[in-house]
Amino acid sequence: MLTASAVGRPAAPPSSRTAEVARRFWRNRKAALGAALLAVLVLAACLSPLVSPYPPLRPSPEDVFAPPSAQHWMGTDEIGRDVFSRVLAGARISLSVGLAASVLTLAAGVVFGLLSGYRGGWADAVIMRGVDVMLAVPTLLFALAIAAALGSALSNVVLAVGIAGVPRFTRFVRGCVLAARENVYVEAARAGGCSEARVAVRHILPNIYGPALILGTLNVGVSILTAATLSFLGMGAQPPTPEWGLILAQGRDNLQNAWWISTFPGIAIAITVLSVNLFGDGLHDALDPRLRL
Amino acid sequence: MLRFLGRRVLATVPALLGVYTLVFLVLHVLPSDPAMLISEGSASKSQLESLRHEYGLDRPLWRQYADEMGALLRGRLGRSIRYGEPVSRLIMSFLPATLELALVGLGIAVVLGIALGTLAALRPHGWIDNLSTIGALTGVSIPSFWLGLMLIFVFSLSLGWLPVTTGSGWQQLIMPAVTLGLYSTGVISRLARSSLMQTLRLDYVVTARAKGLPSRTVVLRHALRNSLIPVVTIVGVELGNLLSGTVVVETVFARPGLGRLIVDSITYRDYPALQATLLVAACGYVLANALVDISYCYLDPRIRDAQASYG
Repeated sequence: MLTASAVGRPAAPPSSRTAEVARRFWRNRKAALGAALLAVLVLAACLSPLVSPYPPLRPSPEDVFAPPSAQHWMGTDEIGRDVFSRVLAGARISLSVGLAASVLTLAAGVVFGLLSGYRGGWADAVIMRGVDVMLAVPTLLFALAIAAALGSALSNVVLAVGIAGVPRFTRFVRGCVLAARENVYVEAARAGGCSEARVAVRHILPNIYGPALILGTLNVGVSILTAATLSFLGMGAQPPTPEWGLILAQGRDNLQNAWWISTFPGIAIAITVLSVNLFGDGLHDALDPRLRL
Repeated sequence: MLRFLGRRVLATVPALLGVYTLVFLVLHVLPSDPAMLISEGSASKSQLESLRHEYGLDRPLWRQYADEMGALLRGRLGRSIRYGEPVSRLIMSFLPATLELALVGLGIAVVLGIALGTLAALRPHGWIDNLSTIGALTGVSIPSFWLGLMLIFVFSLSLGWLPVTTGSGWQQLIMPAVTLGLYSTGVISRLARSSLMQTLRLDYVVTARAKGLPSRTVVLRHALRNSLIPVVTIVGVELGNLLSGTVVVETVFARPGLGRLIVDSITYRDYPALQATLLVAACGYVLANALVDISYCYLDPRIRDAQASYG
């Protein structure tokens, strides 16, 4: 069989790993759907002040409990606020809270996991016993306890949800570090005179970022769901903030005569979490070397 | 075997002490003043001082911890600020409703999850498999509080088929249990599918088929039982999620249970009740995981033999 070099033409340059991952990602229909949905949601969140048909906080006494119509696509609430505008504004809040809480979880989890897995010894023992204890409390209850101690506010929700996710992430990163530190390149870096801190940060960290990024992405969906749950229970955002969990909670007393107030924010949460999960799963499949041909 | 059981039960003690310490630290050390939270920020300086004295918050932290731990070891969980009753009595009155809900929810999740997972594994990429994949993905994305409200809207308020909170018997348990179990159903069905698919490729299953055993016997008697170990592990984890889930479901369906007690304790700044209820919920989680470990011995004789020779 003739190859490019055999006929005198230069061989095509090997495609980069990023391009290969991107190609595999876009070939996965579920991942592409997740990415497309997520892109629409992020766009809606960014442009909500511009495209929102009504101010999300402005009451309109003449439009109280108006059902979905051409004027109000998702109807209005008990003081005449446009539900569509509030759901749109809520996208910005929920995505920001989910992302901020996940960044907090990721940062703390990577620091503790790296310290525990690479340093070993007493640091590992102390961190892992702490993680074991924190994992014995279900995540939502842990987040509730932190939110209760900090008081009801959106910033406290970010802290509560972020901290509650740290133990699971720390254990995961530690596992990746334990596997990575046995590699030959780590031994080579040590033999080359690198300090322990440099080996951990420059050689091990870049090799665990893939799995950490996947778990971090999937964690955004969990964080959005947990934050909405805290707001629904009255321990998160406070009125009149257009946060999805809070809008839903405010609509539950009028479920029979105004079903739309609680229905649409719930659909928004489900679509957002679903798109994040599809995106995260797609990223996992694209990055997982075992699936490579 | 008895030694293993003893060791496993004893191993839960440090975990429970750790959980107690963690909950104590979260509620006492985080930058918040419990007296301020109890008074909702409306008390004067002298009223705050008297509140701190009344609840023993003016004692050094280590003293508070030691006193509360001592009381806990004597079986005293403190007195509820809201109800004025011993917290242990409150917990005992709320616990049965939560256990009933969690067990029925878990039952729905296990039965439906294993059934769907098995059907999906027998016909990979068939319509049941695709439906179960979509169902699992949707199940883990839908917020349980929204699902509960939608079930109430459709089956209680619109169709009038099921009661929301009033009445007694199994009818009032259907919607809360389905709401609670849906998330876990998705998780269990996916795991049961992949575990059974792996088991069906093993040599002993091929041998059973080669012997001419009917497909039903091969799947139900040989493959399914051996593929259940990962499912049992996840059931332990899911029990924790179900315990958390009762917080939401009991609030949506206005059911009196431990989950509702936790939410009310936070709303009314009832810290003794909150601390004790969180501890009880964590105990349930830790014990469920211990039971999962113990159940391995019954499901897989190799683990039983290994434990027996180790112990």
